[in-house]
Amino acid sequence: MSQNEANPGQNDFTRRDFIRSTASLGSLMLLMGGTPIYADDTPKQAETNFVAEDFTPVNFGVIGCGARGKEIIQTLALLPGGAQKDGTPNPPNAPVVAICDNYKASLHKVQEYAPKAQQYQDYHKLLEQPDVECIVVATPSHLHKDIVIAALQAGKHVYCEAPLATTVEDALAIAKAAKAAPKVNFQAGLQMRSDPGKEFVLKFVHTGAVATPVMARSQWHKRESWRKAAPTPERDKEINWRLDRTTSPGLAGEIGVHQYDLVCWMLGKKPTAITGFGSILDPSLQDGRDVADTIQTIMQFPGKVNSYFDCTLANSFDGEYDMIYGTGAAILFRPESLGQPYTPAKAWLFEEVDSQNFGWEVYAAKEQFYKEIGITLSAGASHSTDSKKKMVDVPFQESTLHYALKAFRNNSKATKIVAKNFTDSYGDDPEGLVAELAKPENLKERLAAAGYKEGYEATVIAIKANEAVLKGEKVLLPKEIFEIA
Amino acid sequence: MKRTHSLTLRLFNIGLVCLLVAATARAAEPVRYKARPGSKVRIDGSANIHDWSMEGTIIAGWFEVPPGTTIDSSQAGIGGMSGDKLNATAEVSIPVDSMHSGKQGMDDVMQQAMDSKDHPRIIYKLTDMTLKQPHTAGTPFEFNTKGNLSINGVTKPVSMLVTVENADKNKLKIIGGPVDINMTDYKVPPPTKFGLFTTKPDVKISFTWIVGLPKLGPGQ
Repeated sequence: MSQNEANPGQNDFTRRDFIRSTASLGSLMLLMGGTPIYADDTPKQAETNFVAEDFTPVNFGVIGCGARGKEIIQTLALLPGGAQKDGTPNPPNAPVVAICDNYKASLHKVQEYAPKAQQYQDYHKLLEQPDVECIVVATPSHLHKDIVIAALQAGKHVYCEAPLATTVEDALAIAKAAKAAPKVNFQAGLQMRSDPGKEFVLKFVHTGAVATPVMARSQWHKRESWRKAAPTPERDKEINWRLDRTTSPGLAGEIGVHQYDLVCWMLGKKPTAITGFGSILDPSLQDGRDVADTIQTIMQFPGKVNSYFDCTLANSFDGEYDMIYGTGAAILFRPESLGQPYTPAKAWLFEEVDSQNFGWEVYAAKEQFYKEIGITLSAGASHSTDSKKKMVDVPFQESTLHYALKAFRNNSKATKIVAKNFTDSYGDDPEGLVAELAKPENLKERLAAAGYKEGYEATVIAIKANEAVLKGEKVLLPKEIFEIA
Repeated sequence: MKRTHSLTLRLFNIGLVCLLVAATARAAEPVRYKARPGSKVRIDGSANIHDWSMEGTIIAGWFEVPPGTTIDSSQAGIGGMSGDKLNATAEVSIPVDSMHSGKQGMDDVMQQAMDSKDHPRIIYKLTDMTLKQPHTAGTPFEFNTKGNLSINGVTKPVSMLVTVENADKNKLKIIGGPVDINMTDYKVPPPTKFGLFTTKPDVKISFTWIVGLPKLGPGQ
């Protein structure tokens, strides 16, 4: 399951908006002195960048056409196809040419978004379709392993939704298969790893913006049942796999995996232990399920830094956010800033008065705070101007799924080119190819994305977090568990 | 018993003769070095606003020298070579789409300009290799070379200075260039943008090519 950070809206922040929305989070942040951190929205292209990007189509197949699969197919259909020099739009550059689901009704539900796609109920048949280059696996998490391994062995690039699996053994099998297949691109569905905004902010974190990290906190609150209507008991078991402990990694696995990964990424560390609690507390959700509707977990990191995560299906207050606290500043990641439901993820920096003043900070304050000063001044004015629009322009307006799939498409193509050129030139040499792909010249061609390593590590943490929740106790995470031998 | 001994001796002699014939045949074969990973090629260009460059890390092909020739830059001379001319041949190919500028748009434009679909590789064939000056042991050999360079399906003769040195026991590092090339000679139109940014047709190509002898099996 992914986190819902879709389709941001535009903001045009005026004084009236400011007054109207003083209760909104964004205004509150401004009043509290938070400095919004934006990624540079200027395309990183010099004059030599004659074309915005490479729009050569790459064919996709999607396996698993439930709600998530539908969202993926819709997102793929909207990946930019670019335009000809005369402005004529190109067709989508990620056409979905094959879809698969073992439940025929699910295929019917998505076919309007991929009308030319070949339909399958057996994924083996889809993998035999020769023009399919990229596979997105969006089946229930406990069914990923066999599909992913078969797809990799068929020479397809694979995007596997997170968590990669519901057992450490399955996750390890996937990671090993991906590692053994350097000619194809494997991407774990940790979509926040592809979010340009987060990548940008993490550079601040990693260069000491918060000084010494002391703790982190994440939450995901949403009032929903997770139960889906089914016509038969058999279908009910299939479609409501998240509600059954034998098939579900619980809230920790399905939701927490993204936020555990973000915290680990921010801190640059892996946890050594995790403690969990969880229960079914909402009377309306006591419907035969045995998966907790409310959980809390605490990850312990080396250096005695802890990260707290709470997640509930019983209450939606304050939605979703992630924070890292340090001795110099705190950074907040929040998708629904400024009170808008679909604004993209933003980050806010809250500095301590005694925080050290670094060189970059002075620079960032001038660059970034320039706009914020502008906002304050504009809010004091009574008219709307272009400059005000600029002040609240949001640089990255697409969902994190959009960026993740765009990265998958781009990186699959880049991997294919390098693998072909390398093999044609030097013969079959898997180790040499791995080294070639890791060269800076080739890394420059890739967009940020989670690979098998990040996917495996986050999945292990999420599975162990769920284990801790089920046991209600601390579960140790020895460093060997993260090794992909 | 005596007959058995005689048969064994005869078989041994036949085997020995076969081995000698095989060894002689092998010694009579040219020594072929094949491309190995670790290479680098670079194209440097200029424009009316700023310079640009493209780099690649894949150079395929082979480098072949006459039978019995041993190239070892730690030695003063080249074993088996008489005079200052090395009767070497080489064929080098560079995938056009492996060359990157760090800017996707520039890469696309260059690939289009070089017609990478119909001519996916830059190809160079060595025709002449002559020692530039007497070699000092422990330094790279320096050669003046001539060859034919094919870009965009157009072939033109080029000359360049090439150095050859040991990369490791079985590998050589061949450094060539910079070679001055006029893109229009190869029917590659210098890219422009809105008439404001205009690349100049003159570019320089340089490369470091790693080649190695075939990997030997265990015990060889």
